[in-house]
Amino acid sequence: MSTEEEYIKLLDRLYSKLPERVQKVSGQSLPNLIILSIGNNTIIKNFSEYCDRIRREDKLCAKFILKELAAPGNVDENGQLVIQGKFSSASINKIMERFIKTYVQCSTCKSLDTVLIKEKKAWYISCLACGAKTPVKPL
Amino acid sequence: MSWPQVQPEVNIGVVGHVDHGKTTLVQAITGVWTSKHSEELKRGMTIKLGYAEASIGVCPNCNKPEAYVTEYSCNQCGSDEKPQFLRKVSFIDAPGHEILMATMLSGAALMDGALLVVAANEPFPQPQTREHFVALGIVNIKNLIIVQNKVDVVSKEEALKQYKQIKEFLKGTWAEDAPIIPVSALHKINIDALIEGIQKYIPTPQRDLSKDPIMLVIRSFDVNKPGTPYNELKGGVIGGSIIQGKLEIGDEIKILPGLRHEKPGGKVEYEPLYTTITSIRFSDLEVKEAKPGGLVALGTELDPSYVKADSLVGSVVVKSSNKNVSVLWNLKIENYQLLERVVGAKELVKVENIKKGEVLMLTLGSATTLGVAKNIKNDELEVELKRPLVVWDKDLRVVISRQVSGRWRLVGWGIIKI
Repeated sequence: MSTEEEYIKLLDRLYSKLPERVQKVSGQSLPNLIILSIGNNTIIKNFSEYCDRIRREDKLCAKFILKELAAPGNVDENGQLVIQGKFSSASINKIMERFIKTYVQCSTCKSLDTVLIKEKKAWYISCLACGAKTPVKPL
Repeated sequence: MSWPQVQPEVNIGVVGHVDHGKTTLVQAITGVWTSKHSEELKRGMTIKLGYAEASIGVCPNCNKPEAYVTEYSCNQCGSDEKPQFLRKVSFIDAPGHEILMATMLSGAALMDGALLVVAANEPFPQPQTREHFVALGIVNIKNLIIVQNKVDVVSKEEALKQYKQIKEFLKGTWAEDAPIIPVSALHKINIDALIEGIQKYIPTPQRDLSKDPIMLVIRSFDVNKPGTPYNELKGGVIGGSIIQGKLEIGDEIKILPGLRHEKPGGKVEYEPLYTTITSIRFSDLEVKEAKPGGLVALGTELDPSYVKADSLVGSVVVKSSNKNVSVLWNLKIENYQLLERVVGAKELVKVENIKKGEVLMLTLGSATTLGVAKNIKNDELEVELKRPLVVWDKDLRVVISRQVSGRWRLVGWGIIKI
């Protein structure tokens, strides 16, 4: 029979062998999206910079946002996302939060320090902080 | 030189709630990611029963638990002296999702012991932690280790708090003395301690090889690639576990209940399949005879169309000469007992008595079938089955499930009366 002392001994052994956590991006704050409405277009000025920060391709991120807004748009040469249509900054921020929750944040340790790995039909979020692999729905 | 190439001698089930890290744990021990199906990879969950094997050895120069290894070298001391081989074990990775309870139950029939995986970062107990635990008790699995996984993402205080909750949960049950081993499957920490636990708490059962062989089928497949010329076609392959006796190449076998035939007028009959064993293999190991332990794949002379896409799952393989096996359309269940509560649901709903005409799901061995309750007396229940069940012994336990809020839930068990 295993006793509580034996359990605690194994627990201490586990914690002593754990690798040092990689510093999380979530510890640093993500930049705010700069959203402008110009005429009938909505522009996210720092879009590419934001995508670099969360380690995701701007194409992928744009695809998600445009799909959610059901609007056409594209990333221009200055790294801005130009969306055809008028949208409030609140709704765009909400969609971005949803993207981060689904395709960026590690479900195990909640770190944003992750990379997206595509293997044939399967997509994974691989966490650089804890090493967990979380499958996600391909976009 | 390396460790001996032998078949596994004990089947260890890996059970627990969905997403608690069962498949990751199996990978940490064996190096094999058991979710191979594309749908499993896409959805990130186990759907079919997973399977992997591991050889266990012990390094003579290291202290325990570090001394326990699953490969033919010791990373701990780097000594030239190779670890000593102890035994080969196999792991049956059960799905944890509530809708796949029938799959878990069919896998439970093959288990000699089990690892119940509990995630340290979730409240305890989760619905399928409870349901799988009860199922193990029903199918009479007495060797259990509780594996507390994901300890790396909680504090020591939280882990200890959950340890006490687990102890409280086990109090007064058949598994009161089950060891609780904290691990991080992701970082492969304390896996050596778990292997030590497996050696200590899940012994290889005594096997009677003189008994008539019985094999429970959990997979069947056509191994021919599309476009294979007719003269190069290989016979169908059936996979499963031998629970008693032994099978050899050349043995004449019959597969029960067999092939389904629909007669004019809608009457359904099953016809036994007779064939010969042409090959036997355990993972990558080709052998001449197979004993209980591990999952075995039998190559046969069957038409590949009979076995494709797991069509023979739930069948029983016996020698052609075996006349002691019954195929029953009507099942008499005696001493049936219902649980007080539906353990697999979030809310612990009270289990109502079985009513006449109610549709039940019955699991015997690796077979699952639906049936309608006909006669109900005190502790005896008669069920008319939609697909026949194969009964190979006296006093076999059948697991009873019923639909609760649109899900099949484990509600009781009974003894089959022949």
